[in-house]
Amino acid sequence: MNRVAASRARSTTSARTGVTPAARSRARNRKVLLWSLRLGTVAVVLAAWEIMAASVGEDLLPSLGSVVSDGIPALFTEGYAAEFGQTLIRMLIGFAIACAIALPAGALMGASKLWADILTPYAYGIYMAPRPALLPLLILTFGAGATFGIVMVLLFAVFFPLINTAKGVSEVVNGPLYEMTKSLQVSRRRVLFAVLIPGSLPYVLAGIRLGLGMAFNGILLAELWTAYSTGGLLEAMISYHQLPEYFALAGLIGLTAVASYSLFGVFERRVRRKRGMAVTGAFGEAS
Amino acid sequence: MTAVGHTGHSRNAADPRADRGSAAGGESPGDGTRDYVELRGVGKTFTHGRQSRQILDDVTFSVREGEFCAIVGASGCGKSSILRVIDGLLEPDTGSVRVDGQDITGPNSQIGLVFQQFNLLPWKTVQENIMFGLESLKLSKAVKRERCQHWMSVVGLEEWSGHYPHQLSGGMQQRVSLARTMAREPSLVLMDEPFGALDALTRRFLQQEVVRLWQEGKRTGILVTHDIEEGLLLADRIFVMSANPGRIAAVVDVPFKHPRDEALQATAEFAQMKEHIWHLLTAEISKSSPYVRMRNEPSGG
Repeated sequence: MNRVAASRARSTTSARTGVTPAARSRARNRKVLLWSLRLGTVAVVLAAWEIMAASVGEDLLPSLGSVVSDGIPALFTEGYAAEFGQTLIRMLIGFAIACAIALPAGALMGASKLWADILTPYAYGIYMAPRPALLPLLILTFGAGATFGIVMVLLFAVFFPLINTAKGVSEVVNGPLYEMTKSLQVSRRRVLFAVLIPGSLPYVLAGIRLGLGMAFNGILLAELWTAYSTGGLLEAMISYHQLPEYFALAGLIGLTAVASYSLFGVFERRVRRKRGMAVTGAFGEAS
Repeated sequence: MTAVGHTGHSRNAADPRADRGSAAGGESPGDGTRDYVELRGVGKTFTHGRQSRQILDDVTFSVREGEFCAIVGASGCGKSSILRVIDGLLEPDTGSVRVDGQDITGPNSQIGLVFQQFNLLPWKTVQENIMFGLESLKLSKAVKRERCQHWMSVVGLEEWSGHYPHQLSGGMQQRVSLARTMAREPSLVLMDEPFGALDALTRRFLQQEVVRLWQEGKRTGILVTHDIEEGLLLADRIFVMSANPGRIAAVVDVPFKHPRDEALQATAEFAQMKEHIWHLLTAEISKSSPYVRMRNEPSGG
């Protein structure tokens, strides 16, 4: 679309969505304010960091300058980022297995009261069990390497996709839409693909998003406990007082987690919008 | 005891003529035609854990072919349950349900149910929602598309065919729901308080639409409502339901000819009929509610 046409499109009410130029302008202003607040908060935190680093000294807290000049290049020259990449792969494998178990099991729980009664205690057992207490047993069983990390991710990440899927399916199966499909004599196959899956999708996606956050927790706890891969690097950096490298790697881990969570949230909102469903914010609030 | 008599008056449901429409000699819709819907001794109890509650008890009535009847009663008296029993969504514990001479054992393509809460699929457009209603029918795609277009036009939503339910008003959503049901061209249409969630203006507009569709299509219909005026404006006969458990307490023939407009609502006869049905309803509520009985008893004694 050329500039003239684009300008014309912005100044007229959309025939497809009914959004007026005034509403678009308000939405744009809101976005600008939101990003200003977000970046402003980050700026405040970084400023506080600098002040604290200056006051306690580089031995305890490196300055931002040290992290940028020493830490960040080391991520690539010393292979720390690549090692973290391996950690991410293990995390994704564990998360994929967790979802492969959680989604069908959750659907079964949601569709059948019998299976819900059978599986719910195990689901909550996995969630409530003190996993740090289970670590020695898990290490004995799976070793202290990659497999252990994947199993930890599975244990951490399986709960939310499972429970959310069960909730979503239950809402559809026990709700008015299901009764409508029975009245219209819709086949089971069509109910599954046309009603059950799209109807439970918001819950499933929310569960996956929450599970993704837990997966990050799981892999890092596993690798810190066994001093393996990224966890081992972090422990070594602390032991050898390589604080700029430590904060650079920790920052990379944190940014990756936040970015993953946010990107998935964007995908989730897009799916909901495309399907004509209410779009919610990161915490489920109306958007 | 309700009066037995001529067209326009009510009959006790125990009267053997109660389910045969108006008194002999009167002109009424469906006179001489067969019973299309027959409920005999229908009873239903809901159990939740250790508690059970009888919702329907010995519900017996018939609706003639081409007739439009209303079931009026207080909230919770089992009106919606009756519709679900007729539609095959609920299996009665006792009694039988027959539509067009066939026993009802499950949902049937000849029966359409319009829900109170629209029940549209939020992720499908107007056109897709109506087409969804046709999926189970053994029709060619071309015929389905043609019916979909026809009914979108009938309810005045062709320009909104690509919109999602959340982009429509309540009245428009109910029109989509109506179109989805009517596109299946059922011979019996059941409506469960279809206008309950709408504002007064939209409700009146859709009531007129329903009457127009009725007169054009000559279908049999049963409307459930708690609004007496709505029943008087739309129905040929009104079944008054008692509660706790739900039974047909009285049958009222509606004498007014269509179109029934605001001018009719202003007449004394309309007000009288409304008052009469109101008294029937409140009498039933008093019987079933000890609180109402206590409140109505003289104090001090």
